[in-house]
Amino acid sequence: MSTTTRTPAQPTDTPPAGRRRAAALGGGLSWRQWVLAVPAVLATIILFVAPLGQMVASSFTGGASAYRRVLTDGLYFEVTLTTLRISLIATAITVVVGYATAWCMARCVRSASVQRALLLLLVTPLFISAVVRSFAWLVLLGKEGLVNDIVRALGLSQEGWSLLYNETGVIIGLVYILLPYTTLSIMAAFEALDGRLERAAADLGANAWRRFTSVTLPLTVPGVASGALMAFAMAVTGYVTPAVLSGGQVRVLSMLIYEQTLVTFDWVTASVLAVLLLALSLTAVIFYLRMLKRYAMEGAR
Amino acid sequence: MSQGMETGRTARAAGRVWLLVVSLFLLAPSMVLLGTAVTTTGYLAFPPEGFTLGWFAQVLSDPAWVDSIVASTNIALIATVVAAVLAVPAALALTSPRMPGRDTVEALLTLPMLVPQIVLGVGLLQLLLVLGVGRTYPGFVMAHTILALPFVLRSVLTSLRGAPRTLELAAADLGAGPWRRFIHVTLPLMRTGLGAGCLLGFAASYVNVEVSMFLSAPELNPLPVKLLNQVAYTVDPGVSAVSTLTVVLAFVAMLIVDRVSGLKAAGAPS
Amino acid sequence: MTRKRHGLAALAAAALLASACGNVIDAQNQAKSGSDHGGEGKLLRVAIFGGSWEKGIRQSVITPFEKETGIRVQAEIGTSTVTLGKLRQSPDAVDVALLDSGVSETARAEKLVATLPQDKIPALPELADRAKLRDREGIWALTMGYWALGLAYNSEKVKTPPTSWDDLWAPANAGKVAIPAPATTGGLPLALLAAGHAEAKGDTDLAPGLTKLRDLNAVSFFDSSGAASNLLQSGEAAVAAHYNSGAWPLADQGLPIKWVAPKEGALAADSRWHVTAKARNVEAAYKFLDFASRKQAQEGLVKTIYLAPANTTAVIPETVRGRMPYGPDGSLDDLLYVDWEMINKNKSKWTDAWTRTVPR
Repeated sequence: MSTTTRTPAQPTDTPPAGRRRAAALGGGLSWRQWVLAVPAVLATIILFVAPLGQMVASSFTGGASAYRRVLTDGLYFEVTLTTLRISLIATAITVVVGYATAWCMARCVRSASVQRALLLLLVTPLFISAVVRSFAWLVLLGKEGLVNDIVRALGLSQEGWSLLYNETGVIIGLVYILLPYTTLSIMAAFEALDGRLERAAADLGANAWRRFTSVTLPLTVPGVASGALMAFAMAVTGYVTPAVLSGGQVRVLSMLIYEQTLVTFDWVTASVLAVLLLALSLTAVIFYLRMLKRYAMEGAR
Repeated sequence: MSQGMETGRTARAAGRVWLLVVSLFLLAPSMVLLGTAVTTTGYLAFPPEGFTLGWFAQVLSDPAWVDSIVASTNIALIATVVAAVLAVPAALALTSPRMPGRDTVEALLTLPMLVPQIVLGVGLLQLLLVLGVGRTYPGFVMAHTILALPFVLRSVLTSLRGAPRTLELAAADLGAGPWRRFIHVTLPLMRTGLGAGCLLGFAASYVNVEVSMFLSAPELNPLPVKLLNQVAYTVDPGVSAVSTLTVVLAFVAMLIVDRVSGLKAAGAPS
Repeated sequence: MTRKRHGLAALAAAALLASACGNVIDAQNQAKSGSDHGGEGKLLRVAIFGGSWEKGIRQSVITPFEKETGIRVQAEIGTSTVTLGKLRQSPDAVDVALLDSGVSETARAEKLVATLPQDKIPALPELADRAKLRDREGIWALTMGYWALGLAYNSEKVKTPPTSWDDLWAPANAGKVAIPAPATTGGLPLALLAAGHAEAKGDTDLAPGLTKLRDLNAVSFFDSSGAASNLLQSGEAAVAAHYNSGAWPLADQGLPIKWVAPKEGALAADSRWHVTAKARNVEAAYKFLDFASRKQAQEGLVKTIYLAPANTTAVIPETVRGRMPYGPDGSLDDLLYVDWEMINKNKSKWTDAWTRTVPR
């Protein structure tokens, strides 16, 4: 039912018989699809699974004792919670801000050059080294920084806000670098969105909010989910942003891992923490894939 | 296209205010960089005191900085291309509903972005040394390919999943062969996702410190590593100047890519 | 049939592109390593630090060394810890390594650095005794120069300059103090000092020191000179436990920042030259260490990065006397020397204890 004129594929010769829809989408028994995935899988096995295996192996140096030690240690539990809290808050903020931004860019801006300028702004964070980026935020967020100058000028607070060397600072720094990830991802979903579906909903008398919740939002869910996943990954694994902006006052797993790897050479604990972090992230990925599947099934209905 | 159709005037005004706020947020750190790069003081002064382009001149005349920028750009470019070449077919396979073990493969290909990079860095250095390419250009490209791959893959997957696959069915019904279907139907469908993915993948490589710092060698010192080692001992406006330069370079590159790939917001008049 | 071709074609394309990239890179690489091989025996790979240190070392040591000997020096820039990390994975990564005190001892304990033949380093007798690091097998490292953790302050915001370590805890500075992170060279020595055991040997209880540091309620634990300078410059911190080598360059840049050696003594640290155990160009490495230990090179480092010289014959010009780690009138004997071996032994435990105790 859905056809479009956007990308016409015009056959120049008569189709031979036997071309099946199934063939187009690789339906049926399709171990052959694997051929397409093999290069990526191989690369991942060599460049990721192999080093990872070494890491997992060293985490079991001395049996499971290191795991027992880490898992029963209140500090690591607390740091894990902090890591998840900061990462989830930053991801959530980024998804909301990114969605609103992608929506506004698609619907509120007509001029192509304004769009281009916005897009350039949006990708700026991607090209600034984490160290330098974090230093810029140090300058902005300090007690005497530009942001607090404005806060004081507006009379919002006499003292100024504490925006640095705490979780707030880390989250601000993270949102800045995560924003391109979610926004670009959601923009791609908007791009793929078939505008006529919304128009059809409008023709059927749906108001703007209903159109949004019943058509636009569901259709952009894959973009949101994918953007959120990438943002979460960046938030959980990054070291420089939390290290600089927390000033050592907030501790996240990547900081402990960094310290153990480079300073105290406690490679076993570092490996254990990395494996645990990976397990948590893997749960997030599985959750994500499940959600995607359910969504796809609902979509099919 | 009249997509702005039912978006009310108030909504649109509110949307523009929102975009302005977000723009200011995105702009702020770059303003600090630019400001501290043109100050005449020897330290980072913001707002800047005086105006000079001397720091830019100093950086550009220092071959070590220039080499670093070139190395980072080369590595990121090649790694992104390789990642894209790996990711696109994998994404096609993963969006075919009947691929056995689809979820497992997808999870596997996503995982590299979820490991603390410092750990990955140590592991990769070990591996690349075993392979005989430790601390070399090919080694760097291999390591950065695995950094970029998940981002490219995820973005391409997203755009393929959001796209109506019926188009391909139609094309198949009309008798288009696999290559024709790919070039004329699938590729355009994933264009935005591929563009965004390459951008994110490029960035994942371009600003990486945690993995690169183990792989860096005297003649191969990517910019983020050089910046890290600089800032550990000295901060001067030169650091800001270098960073401003890379942003400007990136903008120019983006504008070129924009012309070619059409990466732009949905609904833009094309 | 069709499907297969579909996949194979993609695979072929991937392989083609990958190999194309590979070829370009290989060619580049061969060109590079080729030129290196041409100068076999004439190339020395030296790991040094970045920023102002790189500048100072290049200017005072590397460039004049290259001129005198004709040996080409390839400098690898990185912090001590990363250099050690590289050496652990590939012990022949560099020929000469510059490492900070604590990391230096670790490298020796792990047999990554070699014992030095004394006859190959004629400048040896000119070095201060403590600059020749030795164990049972002999001398294994030479100090390039000394620096120290003391008190840096913003002279516009602090009315009475600090004179004692106790001033960190002075009510006037409450909530406006920054100290180095435990992962950096100065962190654990500062905790030792706070515990009253700065120069202790053997087993020491760090807990009281950590409690004192917690009571300090520091704004931030900085892990780079850049972060420290931002803290002082912005006024976020009025006083910081900071290194003379890190603080004085800020003053040179025009910032209102000064540094003092506390009257109890500043906490010494040193950066040391090592020849790696698997060095490829050993002879050149010895020559380099000798050159770096001579009066001329040492005086250069005094002037550029304010290191107190290890060479006893080096003359400290009047202009930089005030910037030495022991202050304008002191000498190496006025510094406090921590027991790095003990710190290394307890490093994991103590860093962990810091993480549990000190942050807010």
